[in-house]
Amino acid sequence: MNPMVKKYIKVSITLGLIAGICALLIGMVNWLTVETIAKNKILKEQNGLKQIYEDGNPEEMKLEKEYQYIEKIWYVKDSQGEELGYVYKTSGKNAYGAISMLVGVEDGNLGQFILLEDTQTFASTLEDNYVSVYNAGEREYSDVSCGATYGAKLIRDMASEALEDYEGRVL
Amino acid sequence: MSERSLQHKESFITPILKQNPLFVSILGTCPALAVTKSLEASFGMGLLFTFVVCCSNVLISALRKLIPEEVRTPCYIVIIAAFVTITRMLTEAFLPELYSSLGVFLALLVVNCIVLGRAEAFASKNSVFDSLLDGLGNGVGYTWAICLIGVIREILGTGMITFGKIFTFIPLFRIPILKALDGSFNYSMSVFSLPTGGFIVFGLILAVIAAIEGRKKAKEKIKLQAEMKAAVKGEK
Repeated sequence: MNPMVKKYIKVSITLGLIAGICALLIGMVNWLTVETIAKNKILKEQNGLKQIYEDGNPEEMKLEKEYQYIEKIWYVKDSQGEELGYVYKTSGKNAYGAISMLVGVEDGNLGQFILLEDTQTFASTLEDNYVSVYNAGEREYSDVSCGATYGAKLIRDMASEALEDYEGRVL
Repeated sequence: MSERSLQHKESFITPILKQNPLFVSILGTCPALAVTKSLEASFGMGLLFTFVVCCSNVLISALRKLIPEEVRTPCYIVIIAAFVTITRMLTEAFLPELYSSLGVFLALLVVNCIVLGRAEAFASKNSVFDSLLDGLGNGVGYTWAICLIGVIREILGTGMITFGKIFTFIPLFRIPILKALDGSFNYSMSVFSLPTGGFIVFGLILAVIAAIEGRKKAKEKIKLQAEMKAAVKGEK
């Protein structure tokens, strides 16, 4: 056999072997963690709903149309069956990463924002400089924040879609 | 101590102080500036970095005779990427707060120059055990360096050190350190919480290290001159 062909075969087998070892390791860890990750996500969603409406009973609604950002909608009532408000799960992406968050809407006004997933470059900056400040009532949601400008714009658009949907339902 | 034990010791100790990857070699500065907002986040990043560098060093060293010279860099990157993916999955499952706080910088460990540098410069030429020690040494060296930046930034930025926010299995508690001008603990200097603060603190630490090194060199120079003078006098 041509020595060059022999060399190419050796290199291909070695690369295949290394890729195989890596794939096996990743597959094993994925098998071990996939359930925990899914449970964590559900738990985070439920904790977020509790944070927005502590004593509320959320009831998931069926989506009637396609949205750009909205993934789930909950209609929240209190223990007496009185309406408390709506919670929207919105998700979006930009060049800096993905954001998934819960938006509470009550009496036509935006309530709390709860970040579920945030893979923006400066992830914690967005939470500290924008979401926490907004939740503390010290910022308008339509403002964007320096240091997390792109993430803040995405949040503004997601919240606007939730508000528009609420207005379409109630008004 | 045998030569072999000395080599093991050297592999572990040298990267911690003498050849610290961050403060001496100035490598891995991106995450060192971005994720060192708090001591907890810095420590978490350090732990994950240590895991990745140790595992990739061990596997690369074990496969070093098998990996063809021409394709060694892609092979190292595949191995490092595999361990970073594993680390991401484990962190997302068991330390979700740390996973959220590190954001994209956890994935960026794939292109961290310390990890690739150790694979190329050390693991590809040395035994598995030595490579593990080198990985551990670099991990510990990088961890204490980013923890130092983290603790300074957290104290200057928030006036306190917080535990339990990222490692949620420990109860949340705060140690107030700096007071505001009115005497209350409502101190905050947000510039230190932003990446700008990372640059300032990192620059100051490098300046202090340079000053200490400079003083050391000056002392050695004076000592050498005195020895030379004494030798010349003795000759006369």
